[in-house]
Amino acid sequence: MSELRWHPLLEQWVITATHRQERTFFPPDNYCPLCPTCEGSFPTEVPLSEYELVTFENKFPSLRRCPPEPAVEETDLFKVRPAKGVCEVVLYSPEHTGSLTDKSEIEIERLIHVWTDKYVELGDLDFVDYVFIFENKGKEIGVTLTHPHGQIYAYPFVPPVIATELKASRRYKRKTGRCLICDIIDEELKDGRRLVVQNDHYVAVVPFYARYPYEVHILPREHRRCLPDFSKEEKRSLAQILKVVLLKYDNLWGFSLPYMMVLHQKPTDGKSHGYYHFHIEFYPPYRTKDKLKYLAGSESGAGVFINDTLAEEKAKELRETEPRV
Amino acid sequence: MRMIKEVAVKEDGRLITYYWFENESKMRGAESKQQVSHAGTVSEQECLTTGSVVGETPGRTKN
Repeated sequence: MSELRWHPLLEQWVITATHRQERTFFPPDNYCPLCPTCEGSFPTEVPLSEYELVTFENKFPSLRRCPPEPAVEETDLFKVRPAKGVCEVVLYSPEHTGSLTDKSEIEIERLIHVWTDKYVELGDLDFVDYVFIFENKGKEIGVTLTHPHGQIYAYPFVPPVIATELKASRRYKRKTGRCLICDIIDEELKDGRRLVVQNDHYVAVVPFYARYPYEVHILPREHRRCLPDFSKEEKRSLAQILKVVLLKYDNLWGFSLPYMMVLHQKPTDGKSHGYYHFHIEFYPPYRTKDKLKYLAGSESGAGVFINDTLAEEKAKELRETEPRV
Repeated sequence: MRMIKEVAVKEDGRLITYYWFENESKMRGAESKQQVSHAGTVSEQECLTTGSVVGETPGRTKN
């Protein structure tokens, strides 16, 4: 059972997806549903015996192309809609172990091409207003399958965090005539203390307004709204800086650092959104080597993040961490 | 970089998309096409681009 229920106080949709309680939970390594199907073995999610990069519709989706009718009737106050959309899984590799960090720059570049293709393909669907590409990594984030993979949610609405960023970017553009993130990049480069790494096309920073201790944002220097706006060279360059950030994370404390990685792109609702600036955000859940940051009362109940660290200090730590393989 | 995209339908009706990259795996992709085409009933024909070569920046928009 799945449906969209409107939260009238926060004015946002909540997805109920009760069938997800039944999803596969830490299967044994030799029974991974994301590995290729080997001859004579059990059928996995991928029927072929080998693959390079694969996407497929989630077996336990929060959103479906043909969703069931809602289980309850709506009222004027309690609105409900079918959970129409698409949820896909992106397999980074047929190899069961490892992570995105272990992939070569060329493999990450290929993944960026796949992200681009899915953004366009799913965004073209008339019921999809936003294509959200992300990765949850590590059991600390709630990952239930260890095989390296990411996800794509194609929502029938613009999600609230993106809507807030759009509103702020639009307002700033009207007020100053400039792009908000272009100006943020200028200010971060001028200050320099929060810079983690940069290359010809991107800067990676622990932003001034970081909510997580080791939060990193990767920002394209040129104004780009979404992945299809990027040139071939810019995609290669994005793969390069992604690899460096991932290596720095894993070398920070000598273990594969869990994180949430999210791509923020313009909506696919048919509007131009020319004022919006693409970026990637990472939220690692650790605040020290052995302590987690929880989204507790203030964060969850009031929407106010409390960061126990200074962005300037955490950026220095990451800047000084070698991106060695 | 050019990629080959193959879309198939799994037995339970879910779509699966294979991406092969030209330089290293084009042959593997071509060989696998027969297997892919038997992966289920094609229910959304307009979505299928089996075996087509997809450009780097598809650039399609809803408008």
